Amino acid sequence: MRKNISAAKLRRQRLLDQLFQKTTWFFTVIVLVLLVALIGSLVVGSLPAIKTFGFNFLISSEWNPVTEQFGALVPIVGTLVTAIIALSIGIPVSFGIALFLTELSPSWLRRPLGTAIELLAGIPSIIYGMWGLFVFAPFFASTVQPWLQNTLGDLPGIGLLFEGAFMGIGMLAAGIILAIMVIPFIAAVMRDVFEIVPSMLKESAYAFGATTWEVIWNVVLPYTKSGVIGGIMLGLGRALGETMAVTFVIGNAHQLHTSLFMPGNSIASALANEFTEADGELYTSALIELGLILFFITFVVLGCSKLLLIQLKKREGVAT
Amino acid sequence: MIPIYIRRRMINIIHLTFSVLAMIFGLFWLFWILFVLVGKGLDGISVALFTEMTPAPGSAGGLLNAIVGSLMMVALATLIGTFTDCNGLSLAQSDDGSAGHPDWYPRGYPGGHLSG
Repeated sequence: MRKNISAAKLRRQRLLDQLFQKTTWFFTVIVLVLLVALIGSLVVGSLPAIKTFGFNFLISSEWNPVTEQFGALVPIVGTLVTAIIALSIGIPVSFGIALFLTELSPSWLRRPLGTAIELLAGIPSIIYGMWGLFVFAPFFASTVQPWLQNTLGDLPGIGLLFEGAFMGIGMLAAGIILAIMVIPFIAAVMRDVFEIVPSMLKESAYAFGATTWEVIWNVVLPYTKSGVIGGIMLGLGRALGETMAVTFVIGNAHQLHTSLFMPGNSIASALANEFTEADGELYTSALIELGLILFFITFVVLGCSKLLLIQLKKREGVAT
Repeated sequence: MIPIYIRRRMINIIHLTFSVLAMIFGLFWLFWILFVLVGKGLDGISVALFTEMTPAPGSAGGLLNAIVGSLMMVALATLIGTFTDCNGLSLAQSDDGSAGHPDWYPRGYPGGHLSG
C-alpha cells in the first residue's frame, strides 16, 4: 500500500519535472524565435533600399532625403571610428583600474571604489547624453580641443585629425563619452577575472623577484586573457550600439571629414534622429537597412572574438 | 645604460602610477556627472514634481506621468523577464554542466543582465 502511493507520487513528480523542463525549453526557443524574427523583419524592411541601391549603399556617402539618394558610408564610418576611440581610451584605463583594484588598493578601499566604478555603468545613457551636450561639450571646446590642436595638431599626418573649429560636439567628444560608458563594463570584468588567478601562481612569480608589473603582465594577463577579451567585447558591443549619448554629442551631420573635431553620424544616432520623420518607403527602408548593417557589424565583431578565443584555447595546450 | 634592477623598478613604478591615474580618471567622471546632476537637479525637486502631470510649455507642473510610466514599464519588464529567465535555467542545466554563460564569462560575475 505504502509502496503504491510512493510510486504514484514518483510518477507525478516525474511528470512535473518533464513539464518544467518543457516550459524552460519553450522560453529558450522563444528567445531564439525573437532573434530570427528580428533579423527577418529587418531584411524584409530593407528590401526596397537593397533593390534600389544595391551594393552602392555601402560605399556611397550621399544621404539626401529630398532626392531620395541614400548611402551608409558616413554612419558606418562614424560608428566604427567612435567605437575605436572609445576602446583605445577605455581599454588601458579599465586595465589600470582593474590593476589598482586587485593589486594596489588597500583592502578596505576595494569595495567602495569597485562600487563607484560600477556606478558609472548604472548611469542611464540619456544622462550621459545631456551631461555631454550641456556640460562636457562646452568644456571640451574651450579647453581640450585648443590644447589638442596646439600639441597634436602640429604633427604631420596626425594633425589632420585635429583640424577645424572648436565646437565641442563631434566624433571625438562622442568617442570620449563612449569611453566613459564602456570603462565600467571592461573594468568590472577585468577585475573579476584578475581576482580568480590562483595566488600560488602570483606568489611564485613574486618569489622569483618579479615586480608587481611583471607579475601582472607575465602571469595574471596570460592566465586571464580569454576573460579580458570577453570584457573588451562586452564594451565594444556597447560602444557600437550606444544610441542616446552618441546622438546628443556626435553632431548628426551626414558628412565625411578627416578631422575628429567635425560632426559626424553613427548608425544608431542616425536611426534615432531620422526614423520619426522618415516619409516615403525608400527613406524608411534605407534606415532599416542601416539597422541591418549595425546588426551585421555587431554579429561579425562577436564572431571574430569567439574565433579569437578558440584560437587562444587551442594554443593553450602547447608547451612554450 | 641604466642597471637592469633599477630599470625594472622604474618600469614598475611608471605602470603602477598609470594605474592610480586610471582609477582617478574613472572616479573623476563619476563625480563630475553626479555633481552636475545633484547641483542642477536639487532645485527642481518639489512636491509638484511627483503629483502633477507634465505641463504645456510655459506653465508649471510636474513629471507624474513620466514617473508612473517608468514604474509601469519596469514592472512589466520584470514580470516578463522573470519568466524568460527560465531560459537561463534551461541553459544552466545543459549536459556539460557548464553554468550557461559563454566560457569567457567570469564565474560568479553577476552583471549578466546589464545592457545599454
